[in-house]
Formats: sequence, C-alpha cells, structure tokens
Amino acid sequence: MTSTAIARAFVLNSPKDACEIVDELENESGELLIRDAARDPSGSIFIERGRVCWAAAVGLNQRLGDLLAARARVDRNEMSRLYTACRVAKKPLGEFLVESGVVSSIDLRSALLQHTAESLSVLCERRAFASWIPRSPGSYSARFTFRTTEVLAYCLATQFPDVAENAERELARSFGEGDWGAAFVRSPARAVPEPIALCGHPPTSTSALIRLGIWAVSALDVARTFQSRDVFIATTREESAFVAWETSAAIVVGQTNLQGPGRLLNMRSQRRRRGESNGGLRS
Amino acid sequence: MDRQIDFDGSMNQALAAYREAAAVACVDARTGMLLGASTRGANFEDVLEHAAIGVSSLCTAPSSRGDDESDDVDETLVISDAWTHAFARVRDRPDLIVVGMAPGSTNVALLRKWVREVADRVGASTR
Repeated sequence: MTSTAIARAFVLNSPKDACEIVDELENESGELLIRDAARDPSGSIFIERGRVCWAAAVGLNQRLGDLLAARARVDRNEMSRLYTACRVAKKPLGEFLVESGVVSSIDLRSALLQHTAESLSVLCERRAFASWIPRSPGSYSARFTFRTTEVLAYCLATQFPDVAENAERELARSFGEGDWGAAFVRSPARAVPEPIALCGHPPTSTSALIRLGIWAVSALDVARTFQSRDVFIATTREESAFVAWETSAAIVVGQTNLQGPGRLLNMRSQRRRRGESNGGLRS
Repeated sequence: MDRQIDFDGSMNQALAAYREAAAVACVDARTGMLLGASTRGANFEDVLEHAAIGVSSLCTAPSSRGDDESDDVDETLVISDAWTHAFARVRDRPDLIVVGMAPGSTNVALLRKWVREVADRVGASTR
C-alpha cells in the first residue's frame, strides 16, 4: 500500500480490532481517524512504519500531562511551566522532559504507552468507525513507538491490574534470555483469549499472538479431559518448544529452547517442595 | 500396499519392556483412533483413549510462518500430578503417533526416551 492509496474504512468493536487493522497495514505510516457510532470524530491513532506512536481520544487531552507529572513527581503548576518552556523550545513535550532530566526515557515511554492504551480503550468502548489516511513517515523516535501486541496487552492490564501484575511476575520467573512468554485472560465476554502481559520478543502481530493463546487454551482444555487441572504442556519441533500452563487467573504460553520444558518442570517441582500452591499453577 | 503391522503385538512388547509405564498406544494422528494399545489394567484404558483422541490438538502447534495453518510437532509432554503422557510422532510416518503414560511421579525424561524408542521401532516396522 503506498502513501497515495485511497483512504480505507474499518469497523472497530474492540482494541483488538484496532490492533489487527494496524497489523494489516504492515509497514505503512499515517492516521486512523476514529468516529463514533454517530459518525462524530472521537479521536485518532497515529501509526509510523507499522508501529503505534500515539492514540488520542476526545476528553483525554490532559491525561498525558497528568501521567508525566506523576512520573516526574511534579505538581500541575510545575507541569504547566514545563509545557510553556517546551513550546518556547519548539520540541515535543516528552523529548523535552527527557532532555531536561525531568523524566527518564523509560518513564516517558511508560507514560506514552499508558496514554495510548487508555485512549484506545476509550475509542473502542462502543462500536466505532475508522478511516485510514496515509501520510509520509514523521519524526517519531522508534523507541517511543509500540508494537500492537504491547498496546493490546496494556489495554487489558489497565482493566485487570492485579492479574497483570501476577502474570508479569510469573513470566519473569519462567522465561529467560532468548525465550518469550505471554499471559492471556479469557472470559465469557471475550470470544478469544487476549494478552495481558508479555516478556521477551513474542510474535509481533496481534493475530499471530492470539492464535498462540487460542492454541494454549485449546490444548489445556483437551489435556484436562484425561489429566488433572494443574496440567503443563510442552511440544517440541526442530530446535524449540512451545509450553503452556494455567495460573490462578491467566493462561501462560511461551517459546523456549529444547531445554526450556525441563527447566520449567524443575522450577515447578522446587516450588512445590517449598510449599507454594502447585508451583503457582491451578489446583 | 502396506504390509500388515501387528500394532497390538508391538505395544504389548513395548510395555513389557518398561515397568514404570501404565499404558502405551499407537494412534492415527488424523483421527485419534487407536491402532494398537497395551495397558496394565482396564482402569487405564479410558485415560489412554482420551489421550489418543486429543492428539490432533496436542501434537500440532501454530505454524512458524505466521499464517493460519498448524504445523505437526515432533513430541509433546502433558504432565500433571496425576499422570505424565509422552507423545512421539513416528519419523517418516507423520500420520502415526505413539503415546505412553505413567503416573505423575514418573521420571519424565526416561518416559520420553522410551516412547521415542517405541515410535522409532514402529517406524522401522512400517518400512
């Protein structure tokens, strides 16, 4: 698709739909202009080379400032002063704050991701319509742009923060260098399991990641027809293994090297010896 | 034409050689139908049959190409406190899978090794 392509229209029912549309656009840059059910503009999602830079929703204009102020530990007056200074310097606010030492680049990225995910959740709360407007790539720094999978996981994490926190802990202690892991939640309200936490470098497209979540849910459900509920699955193919298990609130799936399943089973056994409930798995 | 293979006989021989296992079977990977099986008691037959039915889900994984297809996997382990199941796809006969089961406390590596050896012998007998 070239930058002169005719604008395309989409229907959005969820943040997942928005992320899948961004993935379909592949390496394009531009803007998804969002309209609500009444066809009134409600916001935009800005894309740079297939990555999400920014989402803005009507009513959330002040939100990024609040998020940055919290991370910078400054009050609103000080943030106002910084806004003014950055306008004088003619720099993007985030980069100005990093250069001034007010926030770290990690905190800036975190604030941008949170703002983007919150805006996306608001934009897709109800059925919405999106038009794609291609543009030439801008000057967004790649380190402050996001994969769709990252944005989608954050959307869900803001809805279930306790589950997300536990899932992140489980992923951090389970997967090492060269591995990747993802935690999913499933509920009757959602047709497919959706990611809530990620570690390492999972598949970059939303649909590929969700296919893995679906595989894990299906395999675990099948295994439970002849196994107990705390089942662990490992499949090996060529030089890697897929693993899957369920914790108290999330389904974990990941990819490791061929030694990964043995390491995870050993970890599970040690946790059981320490008296942790089924090594953290469902009983 | 494929020569007749005594799957039941092969499974009986395999189970006799590995005391820790409770059951072993050779399964049609596409349908989950048991081609031959051996168990140490009738109470293991149900568990084995359900494991066989599950092969199409448990012995495939999303493709590495990023498309909607699934790829065959070489081996699968399904482990819980109750049971350990090891599945091995027969080399050169991807339509055949051997599944062995043992109590959850079993040595997983040894079970896996034994199931792979059984699958290799099935592969040799089909050539």
